[in-house]
Amino acid sequence: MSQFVTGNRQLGRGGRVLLLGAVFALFLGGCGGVPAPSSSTATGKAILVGVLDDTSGAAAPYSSLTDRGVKTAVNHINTNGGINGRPIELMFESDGNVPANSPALVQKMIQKGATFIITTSGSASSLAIKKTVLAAKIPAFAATNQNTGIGAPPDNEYMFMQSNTSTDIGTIYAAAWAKAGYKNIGVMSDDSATTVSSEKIYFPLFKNAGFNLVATEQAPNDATDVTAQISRIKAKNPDATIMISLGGQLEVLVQNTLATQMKSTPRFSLASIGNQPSNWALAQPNGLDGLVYAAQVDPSNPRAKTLMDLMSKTYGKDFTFLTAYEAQAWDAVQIMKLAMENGGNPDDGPSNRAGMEQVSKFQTASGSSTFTVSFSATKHSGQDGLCGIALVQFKGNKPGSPWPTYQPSCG
Amino acid sequence: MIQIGCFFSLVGLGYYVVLNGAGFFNFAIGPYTMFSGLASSWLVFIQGWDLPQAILVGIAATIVLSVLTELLVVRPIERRSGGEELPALIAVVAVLYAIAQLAGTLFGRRPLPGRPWFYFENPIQVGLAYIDAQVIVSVVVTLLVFTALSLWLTFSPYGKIMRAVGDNQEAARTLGFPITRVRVIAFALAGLIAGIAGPLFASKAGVGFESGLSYSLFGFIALVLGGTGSPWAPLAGGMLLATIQIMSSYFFGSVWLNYATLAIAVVFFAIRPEGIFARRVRA
Amino acid sequence: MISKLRQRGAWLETFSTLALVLIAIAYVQGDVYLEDVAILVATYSMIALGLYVPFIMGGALSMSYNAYLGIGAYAVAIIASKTGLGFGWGLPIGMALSAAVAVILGFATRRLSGFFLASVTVLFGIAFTSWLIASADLTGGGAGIPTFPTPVVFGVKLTHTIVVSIALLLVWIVAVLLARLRRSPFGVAVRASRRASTAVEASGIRISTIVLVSLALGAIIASLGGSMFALVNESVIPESFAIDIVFLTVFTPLLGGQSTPWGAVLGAFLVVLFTFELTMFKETGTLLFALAVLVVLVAAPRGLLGYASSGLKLLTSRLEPR
Repeated sequence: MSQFVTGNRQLGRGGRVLLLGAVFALFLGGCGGVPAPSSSTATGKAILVGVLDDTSGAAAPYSSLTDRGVKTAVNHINTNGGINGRPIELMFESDGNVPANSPALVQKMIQKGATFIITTSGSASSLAIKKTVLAAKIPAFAATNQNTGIGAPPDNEYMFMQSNTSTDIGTIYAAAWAKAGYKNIGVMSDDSATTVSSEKIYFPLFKNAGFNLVATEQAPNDATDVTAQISRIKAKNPDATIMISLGGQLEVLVQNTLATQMKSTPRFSLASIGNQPSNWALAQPNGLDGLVYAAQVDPSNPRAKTLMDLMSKTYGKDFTFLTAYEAQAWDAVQIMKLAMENGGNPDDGPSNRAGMEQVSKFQTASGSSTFTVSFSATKHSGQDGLCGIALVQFKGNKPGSPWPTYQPSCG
Repeated sequence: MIQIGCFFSLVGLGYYVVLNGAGFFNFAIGPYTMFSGLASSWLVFIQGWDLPQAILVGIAATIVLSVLTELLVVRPIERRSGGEELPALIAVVAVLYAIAQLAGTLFGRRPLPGRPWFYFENPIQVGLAYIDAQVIVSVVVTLLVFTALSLWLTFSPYGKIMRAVGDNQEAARTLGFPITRVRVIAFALAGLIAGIAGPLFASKAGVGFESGLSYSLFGFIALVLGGTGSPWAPLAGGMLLATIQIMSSYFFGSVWLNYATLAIAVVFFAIRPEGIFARRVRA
Repeated sequence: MISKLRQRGAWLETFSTLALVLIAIAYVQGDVYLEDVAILVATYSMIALGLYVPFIMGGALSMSYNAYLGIGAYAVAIIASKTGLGFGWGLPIGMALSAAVAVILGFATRRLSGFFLASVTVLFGIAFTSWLIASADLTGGGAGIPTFPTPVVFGVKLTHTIVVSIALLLVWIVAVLLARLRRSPFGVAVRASRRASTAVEASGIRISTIVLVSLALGAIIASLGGSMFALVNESVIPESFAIDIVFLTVFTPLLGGQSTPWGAVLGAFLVVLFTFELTMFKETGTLLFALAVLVVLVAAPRGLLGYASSGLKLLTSRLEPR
């Protein structure tokens, strides 16, 4: 009988090992191969571009808008002759705004043949892939991120950004508050990696400009109540408050609470809520009234107007407002096209990089009519001057007119 | 703060009902609540439905989920493993996770806002609390639900049976009470309560597919704090928990919310697991 | 003769799994993407193996494993980036801290069981992530520690590939050791403490000691997994150590099979497959995983390996001459 038992055990182990091996083989078979190259279309062999986005995490509210801008631009280019007659083919990978996932996903797209990467997820994700794209010698372009570190050394040889940076925005707000005569500022922020990294730029900048950050409160992006944090800010009696976050639900909650608890205190926000139209309806009535935010779309910019018309035609009633994300996505793709044409060989990473560095005084759809983007071997942060940003004030729950007190200049 | 307290109380009440009717901690009740809230929000904001119909669909869906949990998961596992607590616990944790993923797949992974059931301008301030229309609605609905349940337990035939089962399941079975039916009713009731609580609370800060875990935890603590002695006990527990959370957040910083909740759990579970209102078993 | 057969079975298992691991290491060599998938499998396996002793064997569902993972990872990151000590100190420090935390937590919750224990440990896991974010001076707060220099050991730079290979080997070592432990007197005591506590206490072993030791052991294993994860990524961020990772991994030993630690490894492998790799399951991967877990729990409680071994037994018994 004991022999029987032992026999079972042996087979049991053998069975286990066999199964482990079988599942393993499945894994190898399932992912070992590189997918077959896409068949050539009538207009030539496709140029593969990888997009690193966020479809589920805290950056999803704006990543989805940026993605829409990218797709609009690519479709427009493809129906108008492509790049040197070749169509662009996009592939998407979502990192859920978790920077630890980003390098692997970018690597996956490069291995599938991508010769250019566009990032639409959070700043932390773009920071995380700098080393990856440098090692692979494939250029990456952060369409909307504002973290100064993205375009700056070290490891920035293959990384590009175009938006006015956190440093620029901080400088603008510092000048604006000085003009308005504020001294004490209350700060409310979320605890995401992108926001915390950006605070490393904002806080020293504000302090050096002479402002007192009398309160700095944090809430997680899934917080259900911020009464305590806002009460603590209120207790310090600031001249103005500023909300630094990725936007989305938390910002709506904070703005609602600020509108209720600190009605008479001027409030400011970074770009996020001004550029997330789907969130405006969610604020309580007049919850956003008077809020000043850093806008990156100027309706009098002719290229913005053209883009708005195109998007109305393409998306009909699903398109109501041109956000900075879509405008910057459009710009990013147009700049990429220009770079590939400059470089002469869209299938080669280093050529694409060289092409990017030749882009000079590109007239954007985002920012004011006189705002441009330029790159060079030593300049991988494209913005030329501060006028990619305008300070706009909400009227009711919709963006209204530019803030009368102060506006940044292009010089 | 009042609104949060009401919410925790309702979830705690859901636990109470299932505990009485089936002798089981239905940890999946947080996700039920989330599901109802997210479903109705999705219907209103993405599909353009009107609020009342969306809420009804949310409640119906949650009742179905709850009853299915009992029929497909809890009963078979309890039958198979006899008195052991662990398999049922793991199973209900798996249900918790599965419902969250189901909601994420059906409704998307981004949080959606809720919509207030009523609205008026200029909330009234009472200390740290700001009373707007939804707070009043929450209080009214909560009191209604608690009262209704209390009356049902006291006066309706199945309610009385459920109380008997809750006191002593073995004795009730020997006496020939319809245990299986009572269990299903208990789960359905919990689903109903959760279904109401979800949309009620969603307007405060929105709801996302991952919100269910915190709801489950906080509702459970509300139940334990309040005790199992009376159907009104979870109300006390929920209010107490919400107060402690907001106070610690206000005085020490927002991270203290989690520390304080952990501390309460450790202290109360170990020292006074029967809660404030202990059950007095009728001899 | 019986013990000889038993020994042969044990050696067969040991060497065949070693062969599989070596094949895996060779397969992912140099492919950065596959290496990243491999480290995920290794990390989840380590958590699952860490859960194995206290949970699967001892029946105590303690869910604060994201904390132990995080402690191991942050220990390495903080030491490598902020102190002059070699990164190597991070591993034992992480393990010691994790074990200490596990013992303290275990002691505070020693009279709790089932739902109460699970709740408290989940709350602890949540509080841990909050603490990581709030303690910006030590941990870098929400931004984490974005980069620390590539560690060097005896003049050899620990590249991505090397660390991944070491991590996979480590998984194998831990699994083999746990398989041995399971059959040892201690292992028997842990398994018995679940069902027959009086008998165990009567033979002179204190249940609480067994529980605390198994919790500490689990924490140490998870911490080691966290350290490997940090070394591969050369960065740590609080979002990687949120409580969700426990929910993914707590089911892995059940899915794979409870009667052997290799079930935990298989389960971890399947989790990564479902949720990360199979592109056709991109949106629904986690849902399918959750449903698979439920099906296994309700209908197939012995897990995949349990049924595979019965299936194989059935097959071979049919083939064998009577």
